Amino acid sequence: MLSRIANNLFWMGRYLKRSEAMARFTEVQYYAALDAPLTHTKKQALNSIRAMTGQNNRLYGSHPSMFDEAVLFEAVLEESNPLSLLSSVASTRENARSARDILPEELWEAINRYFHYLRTFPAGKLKNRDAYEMLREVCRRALEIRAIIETRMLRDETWLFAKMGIHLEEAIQATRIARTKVEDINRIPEEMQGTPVENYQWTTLLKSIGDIRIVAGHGQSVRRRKEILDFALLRGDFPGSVRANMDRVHDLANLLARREAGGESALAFLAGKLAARLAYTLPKEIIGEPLPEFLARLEGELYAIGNALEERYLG
Amino acid sequence: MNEREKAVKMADKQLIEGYESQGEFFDEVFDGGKPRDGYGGVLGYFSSISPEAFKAHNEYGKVSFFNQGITFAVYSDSGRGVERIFPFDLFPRLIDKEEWEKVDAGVRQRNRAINAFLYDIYHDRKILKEGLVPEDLVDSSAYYVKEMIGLEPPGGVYVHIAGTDLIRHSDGEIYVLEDNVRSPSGVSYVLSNRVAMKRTFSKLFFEYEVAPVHDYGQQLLATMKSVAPKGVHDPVCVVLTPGSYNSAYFEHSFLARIMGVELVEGRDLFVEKEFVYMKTIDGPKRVDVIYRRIDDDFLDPECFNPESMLGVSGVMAAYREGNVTLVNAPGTGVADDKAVYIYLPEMIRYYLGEEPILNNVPTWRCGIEEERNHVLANLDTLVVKPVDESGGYGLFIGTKAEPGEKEAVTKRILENPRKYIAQPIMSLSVHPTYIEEEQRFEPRHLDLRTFSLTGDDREYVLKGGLTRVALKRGSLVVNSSQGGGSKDTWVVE
Repeated sequence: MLSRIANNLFWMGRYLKRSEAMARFTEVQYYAALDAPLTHTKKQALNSIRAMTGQNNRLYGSHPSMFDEAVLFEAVLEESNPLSLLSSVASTRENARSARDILPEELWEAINRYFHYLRTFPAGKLKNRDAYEMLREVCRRALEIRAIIETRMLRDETWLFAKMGIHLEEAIQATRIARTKVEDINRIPEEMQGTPVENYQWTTLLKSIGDIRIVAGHGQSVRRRKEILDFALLRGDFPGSVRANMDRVHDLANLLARREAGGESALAFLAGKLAARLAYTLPKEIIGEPLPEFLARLEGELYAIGNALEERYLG
Repeated sequence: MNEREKAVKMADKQLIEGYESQGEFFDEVFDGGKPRDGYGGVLGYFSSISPEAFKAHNEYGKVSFFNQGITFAVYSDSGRGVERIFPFDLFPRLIDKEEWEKVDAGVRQRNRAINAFLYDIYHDRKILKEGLVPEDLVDSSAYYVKEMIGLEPPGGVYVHIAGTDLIRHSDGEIYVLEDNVRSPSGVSYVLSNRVAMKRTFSKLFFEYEVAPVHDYGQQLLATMKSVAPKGVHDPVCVVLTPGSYNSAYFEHSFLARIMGVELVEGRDLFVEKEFVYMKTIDGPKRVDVIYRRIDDDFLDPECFNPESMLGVSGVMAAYREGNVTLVNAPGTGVADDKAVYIYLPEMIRYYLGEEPILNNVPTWRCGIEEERNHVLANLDTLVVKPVDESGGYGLFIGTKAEPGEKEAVTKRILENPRKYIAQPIMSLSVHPTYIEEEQRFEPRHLDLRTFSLTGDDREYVLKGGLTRVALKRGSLVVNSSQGGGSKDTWVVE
């Protein structure tokens, strides 16, 4: 396989997962904001969308009033914003287009439709039920594409690089969402920490990466902090967690390494090391240290794995 | 008349009724208001479809092409290219087997003559020395590549892939308009149109024996393999594209896909010690045959345009050493020059000792006294063209001449007779074509591009080809970039 094509497949996977994560996060965050406790939480929720999509510094000047529809437009449909949902979907499709001769036809077609669906979505409808339905539809379409990858592809390099992109991105997104939420919580006045205001933030974290019901009935507030971080970062049996995704990345790196003499690679080593560490970390150990630093370090390690992959195969 | 028949009659009225063949042009479907042989089945079937249903079929076809990304890019002001589908008309064009056999044989004959001509002009130049083709016509051609002199391409083949453009004149005869022997495009639409047609009107296929087109990919791959460098038994073949922003990118990726070979860009390839390699996840891998969809000028910055970012440095040196085969060979453009086209019949007689099977558009050369006199006496009905200009510049069209133009062109011809040729005004035949705005069929002009392959000891002509249709009323321009569309083309028993 051409290195350039492997690169396209890897980034197709990453942008696909990124767009799905962004749509999910925006939907959860935006609609939760509408009836959030206290006005400042509402504003924070909008800020959070911008922070998560990495644009809080970039465009702040252009929307000083930060009214909600403008935030939504910027995060979702703004073509000139390289970090918008539309830009991620366009990048998914551009990368797929460069490799379309080796992709199953129905996969390419699903990705092509995914792009055209969002691109032709009218900006005027970006509110109320239509906006909600659109973000849900983006998630459904992303899942359809992943289903095709899972069920219709030969387990060859094409599949391997696409899957590598998806799982590495999912690990990165889970880390980023957790970091954004921890930052949000740290901004809450001290007297409100441990109250429904904090609880609200944890709930949106969980909704963004999975399903609220997974931990329903698992207690409140402070106990909840530990459990939710456990879910987001450490649980091997929750497919949205950083650890579960690192397990997949490690498996894929091993499959790649096995194709060559010696059967080892720096990539497989790095991925294995991180996967193992997450598997043998207890939730209380994370809670014990300053969370923003822990999450920033984790994010750095995930990027290093991406770099190792690029260096070995995609250069 | 029962209800169904009434409905059929009504539908018939709206879709086809009012259709008027234009007497001055050859109508492919109707002859004096009566359907020609073979078309009865299609017309009967279409008359059972209501205009609403037909419109829905037409929309379905468009959406399906769009979703599949069977598009070409048109660049817009916004920076992001706009994607257009190549409009596809659901009324197929039929060619009966007998007529097709003549086209098939004629196209093969032209390919053989063109390959012999290219071999000759890059070796002994016999045809030039004997004065059958003017020497300076070849030497002054922008497409003559000096690096090809003395080079022995595998199997003696220069043009592996040819696209021959045919038209039917008002006399009912088929004429060759031009031979495209550099990088003819459009074959992907032939195959995609057939798939769309089968999905939309599957029933219609039961009434006809339509020659299949789906073997093109395997034939192309076999052709490429047949011209692999000596001693390579399982050659690695690739398609070289300028990249995903090229307007024909869909076709490039389509061809790579149907052959199951890599689609590479210039930056994926490099040359070391006169061998070509591609950069893979497992390190360099040798490449033996390159079907390149980039022009000569951009192929190798060491040899041609030094600014080219699309090509591969050193690939010509590797080619000259016989370590890689380029498909088509560089320097083939000299044979699809308009001025050289005139000499095709002579080439066929000279190299093959045969009479041409397909008609060239008759051409009079003003450099020859007898022919010049004919031209000057018949200016009203002829087109006069300078031999060395393209794109329609310097054209004189007898029927459309303004006062004084005739005198001016006579003066120009007499001053420099060698510079001018003249041809009759050719008309393209018409065919019923679905016009969206009118929601019915109207006559539109069309041509036919055939696709043929030549390898070492093998030839293949795709049965059918791309029927291109000018969608604007009265227009003769069938190019996709200028409002042209296409039809599925059926070679039928």
